[in-house]
Amino acid sequence: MKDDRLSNREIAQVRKAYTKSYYARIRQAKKEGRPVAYTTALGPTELLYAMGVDVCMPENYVTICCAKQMAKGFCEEAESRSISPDLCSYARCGLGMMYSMDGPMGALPEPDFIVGVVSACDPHAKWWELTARHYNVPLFLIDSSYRLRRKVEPHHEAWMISELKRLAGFVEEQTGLPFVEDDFRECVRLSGEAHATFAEIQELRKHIPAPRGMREMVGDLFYLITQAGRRESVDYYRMVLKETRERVRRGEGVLDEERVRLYFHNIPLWFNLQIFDWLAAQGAVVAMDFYTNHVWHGFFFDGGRFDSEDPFRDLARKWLFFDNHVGLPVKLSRSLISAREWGCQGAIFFSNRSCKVYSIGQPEQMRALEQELGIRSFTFEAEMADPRSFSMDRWKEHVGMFLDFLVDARR
Amino acid sequence: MQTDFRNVLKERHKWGLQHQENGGLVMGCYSAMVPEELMWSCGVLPIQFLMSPGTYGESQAYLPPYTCDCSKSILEEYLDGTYRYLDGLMVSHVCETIRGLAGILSVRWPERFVHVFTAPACNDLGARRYIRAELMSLAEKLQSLGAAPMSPERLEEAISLYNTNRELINEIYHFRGQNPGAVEPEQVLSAVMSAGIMPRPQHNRMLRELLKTIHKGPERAGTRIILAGLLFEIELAEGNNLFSILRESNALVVWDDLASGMRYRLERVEGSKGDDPLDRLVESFMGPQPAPLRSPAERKAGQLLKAVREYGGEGVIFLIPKYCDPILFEIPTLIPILKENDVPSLCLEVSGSLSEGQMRVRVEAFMEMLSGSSADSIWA
Repeated sequence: MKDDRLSNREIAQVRKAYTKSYYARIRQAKKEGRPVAYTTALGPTELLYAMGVDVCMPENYVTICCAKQMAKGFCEEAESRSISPDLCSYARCGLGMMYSMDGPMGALPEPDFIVGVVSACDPHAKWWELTARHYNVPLFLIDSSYRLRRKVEPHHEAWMISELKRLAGFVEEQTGLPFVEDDFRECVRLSGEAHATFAEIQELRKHIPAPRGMREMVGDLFYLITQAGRRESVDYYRMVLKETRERVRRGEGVLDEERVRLYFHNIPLWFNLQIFDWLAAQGAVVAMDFYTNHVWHGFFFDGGRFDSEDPFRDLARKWLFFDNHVGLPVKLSRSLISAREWGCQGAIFFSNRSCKVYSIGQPEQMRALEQELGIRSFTFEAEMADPRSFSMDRWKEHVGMFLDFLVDARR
Repeated sequence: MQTDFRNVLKERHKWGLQHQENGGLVMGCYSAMVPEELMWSCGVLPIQFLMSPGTYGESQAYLPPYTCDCSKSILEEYLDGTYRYLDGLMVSHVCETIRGLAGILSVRWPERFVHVFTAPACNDLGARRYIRAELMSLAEKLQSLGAAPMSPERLEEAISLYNTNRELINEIYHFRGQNPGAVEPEQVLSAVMSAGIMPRPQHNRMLRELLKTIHKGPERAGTRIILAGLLFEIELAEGNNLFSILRESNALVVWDDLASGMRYRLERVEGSKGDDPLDRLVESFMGPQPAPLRSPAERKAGQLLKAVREYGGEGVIFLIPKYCDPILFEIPTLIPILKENDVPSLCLEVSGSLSEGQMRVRVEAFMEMLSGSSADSIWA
């Protein structure tokens, strides 16, 4: 009987093929005159897809650009146009691609309108202003409250719902297409199902050996970010869940023998995902990470589900629990849960010059991990999308010593 | 003798401590986009954080090196006990660093009141309802700290008091714009910054005294410039370089668009007596906001060009604190728009790495360029 099981590598091939077809679909939409919107990686894809809009995320395109080792040139292009090198490297690389009319699969199609998120971070508001001005297209900025702690007051949720409805009105104006509640309900349902399935996959990472590491999960995240609200995201996660369960049943992990289980905090270095391969070669697996579990998925990580019967309310709740919309007390408690429940013995905190939202407050989290769980941390500074910021040799030297320290400490 | 607001800045904790001795609460604030009128009406004195000169020590263990000096200064003074007397902290969402700082403080001092206030970027019914509910919720939280309950009468009085303050500051700005040189830019900026650390009744009295003493003198020759960006009060202290270099370069500041200047929520809270004061306050918080993060850069460009026309501005100097992302993001939009309108500009990094000599060379070069009146920009 033919073995039709997929390895992690084969799952990645499925995803890569779909990614290509996704960008081809956006180009085709533009050719055929269907509306194309740029939005940020936190953009409300569920609403946009429900309204017949093709969603294009330059941030995601930047990650592909980084993987293909093209980011440096685009960052430099932006810097030559008064974009400060102190600003976010996603924005610099994305703007550089826009100014150069180029990218890893060619230039992105021009947007018909842009949806930014003022409440998420500084670049999520201001980068899109520059883009909208460049293409001379309308810009819509979604706003939201910010809570230091978990508690949601009724007016926080009501405003978030109001902002999503305001966006629906804006999209109607831009496209001439009506908002149809049943379509939106279906997209939110699909998004909820994708998140719930993703949560099950994350749960399986608790097994020793971990069946999927951070390298695999950051790839999986593509569907949660760009395809939330589409059937394809549900199908993909169901496939991954099935394969991951099977791996757990057979006792197969990223590593046959785990020397150290790690917790990783911040965005990955998109231009150097090989750091995870190197960690694996040292017997270390990133069993849990902040990026795939707490940012988009925060509401679900905290135990929430789309069960209010009101698609606007469900989506509003997802938004209110993005890591970008909550304060350090929530971030800290999530890090503690992730490190403890996934059995991590050490932590790597990437102090990311390109992302203050995720990086400020890391020392408090490191302290809490050590004081409450006895977990020691290593930290390094770089930028997620600018390869000029990182030296692999030095990193290997320092992390190698840290891993030895962790192993010695366990003896 | 002219009232010197720089002396007020030298004793920046005096007013808060006095207010507390008289039984009031004191709230440390960052950005004017917090409901100061509401706080005052409940017996709470909002005081804006000022930046302390000096090196930063312990704060560097908590904040990454790529954050602004301002956030480090606030944290440093929390850690060394300078702000021990505060009853709480309220910051407005004007950048991600300040939100992050609020998070650190809420973890380090969980027993203290820490709040992030969001003034909406938009202006619609949903935002209006949100702000109304937020202000009411905030009043309850202040009351639980020991503040007086919110009352329409007291809120009305507070709005009136703050409006008077805004009118007086606007009067100084207008007078200075018409008569550059009649009052030094440090005085004007110190006056605005002082508003953030002392009770408005006393501040209004001092502003009136200042207005009595400034007179239209013989017109001073010089190049009329506008300052924009962000400037911390340490640049106003004696011995600091920026303003002396400007004077020596024959620059006359006629207007500013600084967070510690004209962006200090200086527009009146509209409406008249008899209207619900809470509704009036809500309306004043509708977007877009003065802060760059919550306002399109093109709007800012329009305000700068308006000031150029009204006060005969010949160039704009942007003062950009190191790692201030919202301002850095505006520059690529503002400079071309100014250039299209024949307004030259200079970008200066302040409170960071720029030494006196470097600053002098750049300012002098810019002034020489202005005398040749070509619309260009210099990034320093």
